[in-house]
Amino acid sequence: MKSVHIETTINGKPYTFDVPARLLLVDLIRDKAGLTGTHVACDTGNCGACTTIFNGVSVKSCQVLAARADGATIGTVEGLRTANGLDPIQEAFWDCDAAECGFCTSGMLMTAVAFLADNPDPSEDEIRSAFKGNLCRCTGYLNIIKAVQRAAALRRASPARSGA
Amino acid sequence: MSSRESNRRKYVGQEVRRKESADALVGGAEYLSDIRLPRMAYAGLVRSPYAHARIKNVDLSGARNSPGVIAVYSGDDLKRATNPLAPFPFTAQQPYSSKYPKLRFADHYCLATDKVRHVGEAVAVVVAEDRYRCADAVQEVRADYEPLPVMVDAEKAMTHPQKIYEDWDNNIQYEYRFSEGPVAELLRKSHAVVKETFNLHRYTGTPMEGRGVIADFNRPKNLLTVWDSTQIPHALPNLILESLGREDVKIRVVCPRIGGGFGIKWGFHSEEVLIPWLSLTLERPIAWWETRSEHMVASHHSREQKITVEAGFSASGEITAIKGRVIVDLGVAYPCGGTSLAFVTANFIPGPYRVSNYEAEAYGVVTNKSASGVLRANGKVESNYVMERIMDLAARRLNLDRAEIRRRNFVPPDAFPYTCVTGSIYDSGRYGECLTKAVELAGVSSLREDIAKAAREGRYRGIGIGFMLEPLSSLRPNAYNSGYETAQIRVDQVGKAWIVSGDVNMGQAHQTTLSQIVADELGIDINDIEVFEGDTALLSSNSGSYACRFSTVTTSAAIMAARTIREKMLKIAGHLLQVDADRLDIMGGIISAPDGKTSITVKEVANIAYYSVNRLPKGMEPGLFGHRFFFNPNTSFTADEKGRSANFSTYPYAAHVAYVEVDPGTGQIKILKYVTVDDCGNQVNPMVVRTQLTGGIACGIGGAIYEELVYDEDGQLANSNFSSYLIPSMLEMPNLELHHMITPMPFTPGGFKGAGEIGAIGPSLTLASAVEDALTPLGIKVIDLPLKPEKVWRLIHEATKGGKAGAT
Amino acid sequence: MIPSEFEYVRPNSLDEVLALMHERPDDCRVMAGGQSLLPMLKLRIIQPTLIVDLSKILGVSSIAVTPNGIEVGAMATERAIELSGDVRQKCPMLAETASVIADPHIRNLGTIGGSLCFADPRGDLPACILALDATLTAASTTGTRTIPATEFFVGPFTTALREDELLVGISVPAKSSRTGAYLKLSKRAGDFAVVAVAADIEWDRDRVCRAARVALCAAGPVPIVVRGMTELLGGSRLDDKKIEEAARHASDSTEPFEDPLVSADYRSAMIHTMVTRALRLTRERAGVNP
Repeated sequence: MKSVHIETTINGKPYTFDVPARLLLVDLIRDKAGLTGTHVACDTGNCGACTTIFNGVSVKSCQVLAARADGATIGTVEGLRTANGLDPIQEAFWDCDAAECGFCTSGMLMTAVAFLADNPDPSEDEIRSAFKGNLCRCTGYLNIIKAVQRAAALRRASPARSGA
Repeated sequence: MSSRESNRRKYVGQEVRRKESADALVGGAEYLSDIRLPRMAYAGLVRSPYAHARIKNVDLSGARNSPGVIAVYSGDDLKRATNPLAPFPFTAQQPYSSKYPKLRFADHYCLATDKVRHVGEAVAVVVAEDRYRCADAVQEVRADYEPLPVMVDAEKAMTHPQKIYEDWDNNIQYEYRFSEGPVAELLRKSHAVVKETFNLHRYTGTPMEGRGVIADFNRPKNLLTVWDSTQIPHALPNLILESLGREDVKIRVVCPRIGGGFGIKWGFHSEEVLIPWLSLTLERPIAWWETRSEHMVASHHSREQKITVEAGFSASGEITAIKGRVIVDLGVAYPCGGTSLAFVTANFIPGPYRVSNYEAEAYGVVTNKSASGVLRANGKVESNYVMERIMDLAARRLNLDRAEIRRRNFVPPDAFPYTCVTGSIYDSGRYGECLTKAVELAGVSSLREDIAKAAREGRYRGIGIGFMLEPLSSLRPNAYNSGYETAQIRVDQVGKAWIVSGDVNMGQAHQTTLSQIVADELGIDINDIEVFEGDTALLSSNSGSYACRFSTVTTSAAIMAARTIREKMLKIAGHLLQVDADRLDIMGGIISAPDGKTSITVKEVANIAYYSVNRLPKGMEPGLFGHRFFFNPNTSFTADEKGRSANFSTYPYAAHVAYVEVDPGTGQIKILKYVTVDDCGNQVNPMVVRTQLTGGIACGIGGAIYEELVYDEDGQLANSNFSSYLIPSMLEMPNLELHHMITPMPFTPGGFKGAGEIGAIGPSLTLASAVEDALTPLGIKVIDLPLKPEKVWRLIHEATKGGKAGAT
Repeated sequence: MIPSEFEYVRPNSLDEVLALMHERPDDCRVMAGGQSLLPMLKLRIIQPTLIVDLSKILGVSSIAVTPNGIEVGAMATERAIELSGDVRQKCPMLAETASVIADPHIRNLGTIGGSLCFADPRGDLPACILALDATLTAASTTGTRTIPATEFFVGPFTTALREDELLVGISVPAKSSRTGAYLKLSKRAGDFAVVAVAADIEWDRDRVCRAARVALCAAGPVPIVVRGMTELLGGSRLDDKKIEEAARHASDSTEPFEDPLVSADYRSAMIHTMVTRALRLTRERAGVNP
């Protein structure tokens, strides 16, 4: 079959699509679901701008066929914010000036969300290793490290407010 | 400051959170590839796989029959229908009236016709209903080429009979000469002469978002709207209409949120003619954005220069004279600003040092590679690198401390404004103090103990020092960088301020910093301000975001425009309160007299200014508007009889100190400590300044160690995607110790100098200095870049020739 | 950036997959984690007609400790291997190898089977399993067979698998006392190796080397087991002189390819450097004092 039927959940909302089999997951998210917060910045799976949460783990959505979304649960940057406001990670990025042009930012945020879920009290080295697949050309990364440390502290202080 | 200017600084100098992050953090920022228009179609380009070839035939039939295809065109179609690309950054092909610089242009149409001259040059375009089917159709175009000999060495190309452009008499596109003083004689008489030839490698800026263009022609309105991820939206209407030959059409250029620029989006590109032409022809919105692989060949590169410097020194280390020869590899002659490189580098080799005798010759040479254009700290990464290497080598030759030899040569603080030998007027500076502070803060003496200890363990540690001066905020005669900026501000009926700026939003916090500045000038809350950038329908300014002009001219124009409004508000308030306007102040949106009781709000004044106009002073027009222009101070358009001109206005500077360990077994460099002292004048937002400096240093580290564009003899680019073109990740970025000095820019109302680029200059020269120091026992010299592990290893290997070092 | 068109199926069982591979051996391309496959599809380096998605089949992704060693299912992700307590305890060099591959996002999906079958000469896991003396299990409609790692990699991007065979498991044999190291030299962490060394040493009760295996990644068209390591290092405590001999031998017996980004003589020298360091680290980890 050159096309696929997909039933998937994105940010808690159910979606149904019939799309070409060759469609990339990032294009499903951006073009079919209209969620353009996830970005494409390379074509070899190196930059991480397309990072989303897929069945609970961080993946590069340009490196996954949309067909795999069938039966899967996906989280994107648009799903971080709640009715109560920004996720602590978003606040931490803002406080620490961790976003400049913003093109890599959603990938950084989703990486942070996935990473902190498994590593609530990370060392700086652990943070650096976790983000090596997320490239940024603007900030020089150091503010992102601080933001992740700050978000970790905020989450430890009030666990009820942790995100995706 | 008089009460006509703001008396209290509430926002400027504060670490205000960026307004721009509000949408970036929630995935709500709209970039070019997020734009969706009804009936939008997609364009894909067919690009040459050859570096130099005649185009024998382009067969479009396979593509035309491909599913979903709307239209297909080749170079012949576009040559018939359009003009060659306009000669950006110049408005005319003969911009200079002096003998030098000598400059020529090539006629490039937006698709190649008879010849291709670099891998990636576009030869055909496919338009389809969606991106996926467009990619399929692009594959169906069959182009036949007859390969021609390839020229990839700029120095050879200068005198080689094989010409890239057959109607030129040689391959030199740009030539500049300068001479002041008896340089040859002084060099002969000098106590010591240091001469080196530096081969600087090619690399690029790779913003995370590549270039892209969307065009929509609305025939009933006769309006062509172009969305473009560009740094120069206001130059594009002229450039596009001239290249299309369509003076009859109205054009609006809108720059959405941009995912980084770094100079790579400063230029005029084929797609910026082609995509609008497609929309005019097909009367549908047409979208194109490059993939990363496409970006690596279709967007421009920079930094590739071969520079010979010969500098004379007295026995006590004072520079007597300098001679420089600069050869820039320009790739093809596209209008993306590469022709500025030779001039800028040659002009600023003397840098922060007192040099009265200087001779330079500089060439921009075309080759069969992607075009070279501007890149962050354009031409100045190169000029600072070579001069700093010379200073280190001179220190070594004369047995002087590296910091001391620099201090002996710096332009002293009391010499400003200082006209340098090539004519630029440096505004202000305390160079020696900056360097001394950096060396002290780095704790150099205790590091020396550490180095000795490491040496006993067979390890190589070293300290690098570097100083950099960055001329910024440029202008050029008969060009789109016409040397000024403008800001348009309106305070509305309810007291909110709306600012329109000609800059673009690419991550430098313009909207936040302009809001801080204007909030202070108007005495209102920062959240009562909104800033618009990058839309030619709202403003007609002529330049864009590059060379940190924002800090010099945009902020100044905004301050003046805000002061116009402030004066008017105070006049109105004074009239209403029966108090002398000079005695009033605005704070927190309230205009009050010194007694603290007599007051009126900004909102009330605004309401009166628009509605109860009967209460205005007699003869005063309604409204609260300010639209001012600010011109680069201490600059000139024309060169004098000696070829000296002042093309830059603002001069931030910095000293960097790096402490590294070199692994002799692999050549890898580990940065253990990196200390900087920056003087970017007054700072609007210190948090933004630190982030900009950090980002600049990251780019500098990439350019120093990891990034290089490698072309083979056939002009094929070996690394055309992110798996082989390596930009630093979080793991390659060391922690930094950033310090500041503040010497305000004396010729602008704000005193800001700009921090967006200078970071990129430091790492190559500082790390070169550090590696040389670390390998002192081996007596090596670091000359060429990059400092990639293989190169460092080879230096060590050559020095030891299979001996004990290279100790694994 | 956009793959060419293809057919796609996502079978529910291994048997279904094997049946498909048997029916359509010429145009079946299986997709495990997809992390090597997707870039090839996006750059149109390959344009397959049918993609068979393995992600739904069960029973091929577990990691189990047995009396004979460790059994790793082909669909076990690199991340699972990196984090597995069993692997870290029983075969730490395998976990170490997994941890230096690319980045966490890629490792969340990338599988050991996919990596081994992709057989990139610069791939980390192939060199690792060579050093571990592993055995691979392949399945087809006619049954299963085992292939020693040393016979698995036959050329660049080419394995000994038949067109109708699917790799289903990797067996790492238990050795009574072993230490190892996977040391990777790359330009940035996680990049494809300039050169990488997988070293595995078996020690006898007196902490004398009984057997040595050293495999190299990115040193040639296939991952290479350096011949003669046991002969060179056996009976020693991996003193510096022996290590130097072994490193020189490794460097001399390989002929790295010239590449525009890394020259062959540098690569050769790095083989020497990294073999030395890998063996020293292995010795250190064994607590052996030469």
